[in-house]
This record gives sequence, C-alpha cells and structure tokens, in this order.
Amino acid sequence: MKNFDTLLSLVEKHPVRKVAVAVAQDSSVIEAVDEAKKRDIARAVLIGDEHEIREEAESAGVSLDGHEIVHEPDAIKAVAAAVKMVSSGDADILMKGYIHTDDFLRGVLNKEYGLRTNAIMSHVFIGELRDPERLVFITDGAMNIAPTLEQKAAILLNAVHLANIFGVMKPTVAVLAAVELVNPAMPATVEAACLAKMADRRQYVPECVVDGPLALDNAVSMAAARHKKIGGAVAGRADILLVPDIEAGNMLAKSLVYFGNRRLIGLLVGSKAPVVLTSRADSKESKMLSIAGAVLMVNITRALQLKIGKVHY
Amino acid sequence: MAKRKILVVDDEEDCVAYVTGVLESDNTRMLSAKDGVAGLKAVRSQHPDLIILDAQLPKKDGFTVLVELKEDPATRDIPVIMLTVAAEKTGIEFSASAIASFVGVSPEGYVAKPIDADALKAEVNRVLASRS
Repeated sequence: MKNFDTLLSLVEKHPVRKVAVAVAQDSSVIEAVDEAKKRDIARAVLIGDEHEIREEAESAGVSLDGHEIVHEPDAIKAVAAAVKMVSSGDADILMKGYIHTDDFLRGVLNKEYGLRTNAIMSHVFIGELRDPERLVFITDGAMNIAPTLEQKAAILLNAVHLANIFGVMKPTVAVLAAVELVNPAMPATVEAACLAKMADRRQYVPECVVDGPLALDNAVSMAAARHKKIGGAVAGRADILLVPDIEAGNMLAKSLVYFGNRRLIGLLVGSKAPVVLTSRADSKESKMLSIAGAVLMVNITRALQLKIGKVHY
Repeated sequence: MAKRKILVVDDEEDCVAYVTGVLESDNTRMLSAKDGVAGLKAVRSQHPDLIILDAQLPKKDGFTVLVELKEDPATRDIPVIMLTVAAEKTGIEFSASAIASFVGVSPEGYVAKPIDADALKAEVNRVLASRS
C-alpha cells in the first residue's frame, strides 16, 4: 500500500467495526467518528460526559443521530469503561479522546481488565511520503520512553507486523541514530548495530531486513546513501524507522505534519485489540484515517491470521 | 504430451481435496503444499504451470508468498490464482486489483472462499488461456 487513499478503499463498504471512544468530548474526535460512520468504515460508542459531547458535536455541526453515547463524566472511569468494552469483545477498537496520554495508557495497561498480551505494546506513526509515494512507519514516538535493546527488538517486530498489515510484506528497517557510524559515545549507534547484527544472525522470526546505525538522510534518501557510499537493502529506502527514544520519534513524526504537510496515522501494536492513539491536536482527518487503519488491523489480522514475530536469544 | 501441473497451496486438507477433485483430469497433474514456506519450495522444485494460493497460510502468509514469487525472475511468470476468504467474513474484498494496490503485485486471478467449482474452473481456464 502506497497511500491512505488505498487504505480507505480497502476498509470502506464492508462490515463496519465498532470503536469505543474514551472521553469523547472532543470536536475533532466526534467529526472523525462521524466521517468514519458516513464512509461505512466504523461506528462508534462515545463514552464521556454526555452534556459536553453534545456541546462539542453542536459546535462541530455534527448530528449525533445514530451515534451511541454512554454517559460517564469522570475521565478515568470513562477510559476504564471503554477499555472494558474492548477487552470483553463488545467493541473491536479502542480510541483515545480528550484525555492525557498517560491517563489513557494506564487504563489500557490495567492488569485486571486492560489490553495487555505477551507482546510488548508499542506505538507506530504511519506517514505518507512523496517522490516516491509510499508509507513510512516511525516507532516508538508515543509509548516507550527510553527502550532497552531487548525492548527495541520487540518494538521492531511490532512495527514489522503493522507494516505487513498495511501490505508492506517485506519491510526494510532502519535503526536511526545521529550518524551512520558506531560511536561508543552515542549509545544509540551501538544498539542500532546490535539490532542489525541480530538480523544477520536470523534472530528475528520472521526474518527481517535491518540496517543501522543510519542517520535519517541516508535511511530515506537514496542520493544521501549513495553520497555516503552506504549500500545494502535498507539505506535510502527504509520502510520502518526505529528511533532511539520517544523524543526522537515524536518530533520526527510531527515534523511530517507541521513542516511537511503530510497525513499521519497513530496506532498501538501488541495490544489485544487495535488502539487509536493520536494527539489531541491532530486533525479530524488524521483521526479518521487512524480509525481506518485500526479497522484494517482487525480485518487483515483475521483474513491472514497474521501474528507478531519473536526474537531468539 | 506432458501433463500440465497445478500446485495448490493451502493448509486446509478439505480445500486441497476439493480443488484437486475439481481440476484433476487426464492432462492435469495436481500437486499440493500445506504452508507458505513449503509452497515456495514446491514452486522452485516442481515448476508448476499454475499456482492456486490461499491467502491464509501458516509459516508464511499467501500475500508474502505472492510478493516473493513475483519478485523472483525464476517464478514471476508462473500464473497465480489467489484464494481469499469472502468479504462478509473479513470485511475486505480482495479482488486481483485490490491485492495489487495492497501489496504492490497482482495475481493473475482470484476466487473467493467458499469455492464455487464452476467459478474455479472458469478462472483457471481464463488464466491458462491468457498464457497460451
């Protein structure tokens, strides 16, 4: 898949999925779920303060006819209700509304009713690139703050899984750092080299094509890679950008939107069910596309029975 | 005259038996493989004239197998008919053009599961006729 228009064409028309929106009193969230409903992508249960949800809908010019609302004025309890709805199977997808990410994730990770699995949970931003047109997967810029080497390997496999769901069946992975040389003073370069060597030793199942350290330019620009005389299957054409920490990933992904005017999706991987995790400031289009991406996760996982890979140690 | 060879890659034994029963004839020899890895191996060792490839396979899914077949100069010209679960169950209708926009390569044909014998025969005849 090269763009989000293809994503929409794949998830429209057929059986709609149900999205539980936690703390839904947000006009852009309401506009996004309304657009998803109109396109036959998904229908939503809006969980939050009903009075505020109706006010936000009115300000956005959205009719709530046909939208289910569950009144829960307490934000933490609204998250719990939405998570329980998904973990019990009453909804297919969880979506973050107008609430801080940390409060939302506490509910997602709740040991009693949360969406944990044996896999690590990680976040992936998916951006649209041009020239050539393609998707890029940036991880982890929203959940794991400073992952260890072991966590990075698991985050890598989560991103490979999501790339497969988006039709990139043999994704190339660039482990990013500030430079493409291993420098003991920069721990990110050392760990990147280890992650690449693990691919050489076939420690990832399924096998992955990984290179690192790579700087951003030689990961995504063939001209930059050639200029630095970096060969291999990844340099210049990386599908997945594995960043060293949450700050790097968050800034890189948001720069696509604010400097590059690109469309962006935000999803969690490794949870029992897809979780739409976008920033509160994200556009309604970004949120609607993220819902579409989550629907694709449900559909493709079921259609192909895809599973997250494993790392051998 | 040598028999033509059709390889069915599917982990469901009932499906393999059904497809074999529908397509086997005096001039058609049927082969089978139970997962994506075995399917790729069988293609490279048996050189079939046609591959009937299920999307949902253990070890390596059918779409990844399709991409690998179409990227390899030794196998890219062997026609492939994908078997995909009906849209009512998965939420996605995988026509040949939808598969092409999804994974970037296109199978020569597709048949939705549960398989209709007449639809399968017609698709096999159409694909093989276009190659002759």
